Amino acid sequence: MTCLEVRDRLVERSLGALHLEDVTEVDRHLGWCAACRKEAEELDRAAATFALTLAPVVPDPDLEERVVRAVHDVHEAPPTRRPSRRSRSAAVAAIAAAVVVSALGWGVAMAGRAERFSDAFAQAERRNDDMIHQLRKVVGSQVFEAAGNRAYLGALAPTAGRSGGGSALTWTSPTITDFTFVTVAGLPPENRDALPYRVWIVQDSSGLRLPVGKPIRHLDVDGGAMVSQDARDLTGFHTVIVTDAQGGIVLRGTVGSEASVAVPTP
Amino acid sequence: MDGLLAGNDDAIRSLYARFSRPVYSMGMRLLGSREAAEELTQDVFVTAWRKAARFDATRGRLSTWLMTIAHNLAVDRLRRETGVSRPTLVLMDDVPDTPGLDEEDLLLERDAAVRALSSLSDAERTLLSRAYFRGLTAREIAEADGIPLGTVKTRLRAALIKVRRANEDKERS
Repeated sequence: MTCLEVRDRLVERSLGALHLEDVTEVDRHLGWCAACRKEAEELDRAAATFALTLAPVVPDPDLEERVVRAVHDVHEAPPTRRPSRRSRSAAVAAIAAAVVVSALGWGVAMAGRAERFSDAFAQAERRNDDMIHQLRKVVGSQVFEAAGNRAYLGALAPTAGRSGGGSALTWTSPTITDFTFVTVAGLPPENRDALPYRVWIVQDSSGLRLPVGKPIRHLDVDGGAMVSQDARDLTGFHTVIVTDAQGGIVLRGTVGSEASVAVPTP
Repeated sequence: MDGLLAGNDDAIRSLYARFSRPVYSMGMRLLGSREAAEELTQDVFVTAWRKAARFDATRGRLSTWLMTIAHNLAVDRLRRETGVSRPTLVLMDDVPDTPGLDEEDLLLERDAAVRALSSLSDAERTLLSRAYFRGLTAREIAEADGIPLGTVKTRLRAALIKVRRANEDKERS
């Protein structure tokens, strides 16, 4: 989205009346464009004026105790870090390193050379296993263990009659923007009708889908691709799906705590 | 906010004492039941705690930040319950008022907000309310009123900028 397109939507965004898909796109732009972000913050401030004019209603006196208890229950360790762009950069760098190591690990020499379907399938499985292994190491690294941060990892498996696999890592943080990172591999590159693929992260309680990155219009020679997405709050978004151009679900997986990650069977 | 960041009980209670009423009122207004408003209030303070380090006092007031969180969570909740990507808000026009219980800060803040909105014409106030409290998009307002989409967007923008300027004038004075 360009600055012009974003600014055209900022008023509706501040008023909470923008379609979710647009909110995601706009928020992604605001993540890096300081000028638009400043404009958005000023409009948010103006919109919040409406909320402050509401006739005040006094809540039940017990609510205070429930709120205090809820704050303590949700997270054991309070967030103690200040906002830091560096910590996000470190996280992204750690993921990028894992991608490189994984690519080297499963063998660049073999890439694209599988001649039979079974070879390609085995190759994709190995690639996914290696990626999960590398990401598991990343999740256990210091940058992801900072107070209040939560990293969730999962493997994607093909749905019935489909091939391929993938991995997903989601990070929620009290100090910086949440984000999710998804890799896929072993999707049939010759099936042009299936393109573009779309990756979604789904909130379990509501079924709400947020798009992850842009639609995948090109696969590498082994049917692989990577997408990532910043988001305001990914708490409760644990299911990742990949759909084809017709909307059919090709891959599905759940991100969970680091220890629970297992490579699923189709 | 430093106390909140440190997970200090007193800081949470202090924040609650100051902002629970407007947050709860927002819940009553948008969600229409005490139970939903209480859950929203709880969610807002938990979210505020989780995101406390992102708050930057040089870029906005605490009240604005919290009410933006409250509005976003209320809209998200309505989306969850309706399963659509745009909220269909339950209107509650007769929210019971309990005068005389406000703390001074809140009264002043509310008074300032009311004065900021007084800079709007009735038509502008109604237009912004239809978006903020009913979740109507500019396109839906345009279709309902039979006027061009561009006109609605221009009016929404002009009205919101008027509120912004009124807030700025208030802060300067």
